[in-house]
Amino acid sequence: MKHVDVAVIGAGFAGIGMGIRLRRRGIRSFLIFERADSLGGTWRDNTYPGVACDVPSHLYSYSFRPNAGWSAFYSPGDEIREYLVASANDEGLGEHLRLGTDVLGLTWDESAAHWLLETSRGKHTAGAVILACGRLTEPRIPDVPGIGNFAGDLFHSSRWDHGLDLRDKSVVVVGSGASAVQIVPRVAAQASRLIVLQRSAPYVIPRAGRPYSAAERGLLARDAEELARLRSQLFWKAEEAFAQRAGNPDSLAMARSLALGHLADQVRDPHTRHRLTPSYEIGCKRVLISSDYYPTFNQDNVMLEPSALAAVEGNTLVAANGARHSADVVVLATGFHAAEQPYARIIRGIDGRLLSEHWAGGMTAHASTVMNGFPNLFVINGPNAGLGHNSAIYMIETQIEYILAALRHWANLDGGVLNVRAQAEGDYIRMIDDMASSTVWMTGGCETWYRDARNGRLSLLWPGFAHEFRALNAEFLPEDFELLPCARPRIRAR
Amino acid sequence: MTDSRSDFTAERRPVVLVPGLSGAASKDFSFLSPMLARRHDVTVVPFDDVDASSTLGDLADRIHVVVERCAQQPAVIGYSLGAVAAVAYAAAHPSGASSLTLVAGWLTPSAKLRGFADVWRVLHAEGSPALPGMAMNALFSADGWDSARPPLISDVSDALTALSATADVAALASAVTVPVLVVGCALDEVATTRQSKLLFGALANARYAEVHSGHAVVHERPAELLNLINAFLTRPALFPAGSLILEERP
Ligand SMILES: Cc1cc2nc3c(=O)[nH]c(=O)nc-3n(C[C@H](O)[C@H](O)[C@H](O)COP(=O)(O)OP(=O)(O)OC[C@H]3O[C@@H](n4cnc5c(N)ncnc54)[C@H](O)[C@@H]3O)c2cc1C
Repeated sequence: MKHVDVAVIGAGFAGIGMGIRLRRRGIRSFLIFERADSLGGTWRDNTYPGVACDVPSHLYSYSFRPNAGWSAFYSPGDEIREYLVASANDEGLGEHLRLGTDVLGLTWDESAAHWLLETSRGKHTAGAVILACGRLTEPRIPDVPGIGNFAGDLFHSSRWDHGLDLRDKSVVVVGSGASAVQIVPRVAAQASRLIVLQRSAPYVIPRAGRPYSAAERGLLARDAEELARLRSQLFWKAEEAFAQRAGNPDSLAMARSLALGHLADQVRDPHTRHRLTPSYEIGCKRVLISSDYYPTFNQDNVMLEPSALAAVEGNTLVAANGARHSADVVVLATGFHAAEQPYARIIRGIDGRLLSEHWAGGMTAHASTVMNGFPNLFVINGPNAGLGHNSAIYMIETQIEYILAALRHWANLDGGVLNVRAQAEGDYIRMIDDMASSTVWMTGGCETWYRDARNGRLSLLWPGFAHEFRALNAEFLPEDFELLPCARPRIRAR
Repeated sequence: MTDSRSDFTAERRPVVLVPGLSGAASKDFSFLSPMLARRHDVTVVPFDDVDASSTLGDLADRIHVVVERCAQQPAVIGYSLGAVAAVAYAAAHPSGASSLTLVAGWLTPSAKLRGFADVWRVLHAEGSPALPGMAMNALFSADGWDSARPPLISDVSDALTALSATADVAALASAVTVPVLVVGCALDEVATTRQSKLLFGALANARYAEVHSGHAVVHERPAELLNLINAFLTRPALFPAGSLILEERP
């Protein structure tokens, strides 16, 4: 059984970023476990036509690995995946990566004061474990009768069947969220008939995407300061949108009129326009960015069905409003299981307590990163660490910084492991609930996966500005932790 | 920059906002005011009815009236001419404010600022359609152009613009002792970056931060400004007097 100082689970933006920063710190005793055969996380799994980021690329990338070469303001998914692969290669992560290795169990061994990892390829022990398992990883398949027996091709948007030719096919896209708005225009250009099943209409704002010119890329490659300034500008611009989420009436009114004006400009038929008009406040669900989604509904071969999927009968989809549509191909753009993460069911902390029990009332963590009763365990992009208005990478990097500080503190201890105090976690949760209470996610009158269905708590999102998250959580405060006894410090480098 | 957890939930502090050339907090602080109000009790000093006979001392008196109504010593935040007025106020009432934040302010009106006020006056008197374009050119940086909305004529007050050309606090600065955050704008060709830096040079207890923006920083980079202000309000002494605060790189 091999022992490492640090085990990282997951090789997406979070796990790769963590690995890079560990190595740059001179830490070598770590492994990154990834169940898939290649790295990239979100950007490996989501290969559907039109997949791209909707946060500007120069912001949606590591600050410590700026990339002058992004082809476009919003780069396509495969370019993002290639960026991650290149990052891992350039930074020497190869020797640390364990691909095709599913972590099946993670158990705190009290007597040895380390974690025991059971994987699909054997057992390991680790002094500290970092969960970088993602949040939009497990496809959410609608639980409706007959879905397992559809008579044609049916797949989730993150499991695209590239072997399938959609020309002359009748296609149904289920869902109208962030993936659907990217998929629908592409499918509409191929399929003979396309029906979009919409449970609730999204707000969509114009997408000012464009390719970067050779001159722009050349400049950014030659002048690092220019690139850093661009990133800053994009970041602070994006931050402004939080004023809407905070429920500021003027900002909300401006955003609403931008989105509704976009709809009015782009959709001719008043009836369709009405069906595409959201019934809740803007920002309550993710605001989508697209300039080709709405016009799709002007096409003769495209139809909007404003109802959720209720059942599947043979090759017919039955909507909740009773409408029936036959299809050759069904694309489930139905999102992911976000509120309840499967990894929580395989992690046992002190006294064998499951993380899923700790999270029975919705995911929580002190500093959005550490849980009482789970010593030396860290979670990135877990509870209250997501954003509705800015780049996930900024949040991930903030958490990486926090974890590095915690590991440094641990390394300097004369033995002992770090267990966050219940009081600290409780105080943090109360602060989150307090901050969240006036936000549009709580008051906007929508059903959103940002909230936990079990008790309505805002468990996924950070209810503030991204810069407030960093101001609050970049600093590791030892007084938030109690030390559990442990014979030897395990980490060999800082 | 960090603030400790307790500060987020700490008691709300009074904050007084002093507007710039618009004279109205609703125009100059449309973003900052509601966002600061999430964590603080915000009051604004109205300048929109200031007339041609007003002096810098009158503006300072208006600040005094608002500060006196606060339950405890407020943090005073001034923008543009409002920053200059805040210095005049703090010089006259050294124990009035708990701190000053001076955004895109100046010690002495620069030649460019006087030039701007002159052109404004002439074009306005002529009813020139070039006025909004001229103002936008002057107030916004090239980088902030995308966020630039041509200012409405009503967004800039004649009286305040005229007053700005003579608003000079060089002789008053030594009387200010409270902690000060000076925020200069790297691309400010109206107040000028140099004049903001001279405030930093003149005020004993000042630290200096710079935003990559034109004079219209409250429209170009309001969120970055909010971050600087919040950090300073939470821990005024985190950066000792005389510090140059490095830009945070996201
Ligand atoms: C289509 C799409 C577009 C998006 N666009 C944006 C955007 O524009 N801007 C933005 O900010 N965010 C966007 N997001 C959110 C995105 O998920 C995050 O930005 C980011 O990629 C998350 O990285 P991660 O490393 O936390 O998780 P992931 O990328 O999901 O990586 C987690 C990895 O952990 C592995 N894993 C999980 N469990 C185990 C286990 N038990 N054992 C071994 N391995 C395991 C998974 O296989 C996966 O590779 C988008 C998401 C999707 C789905």
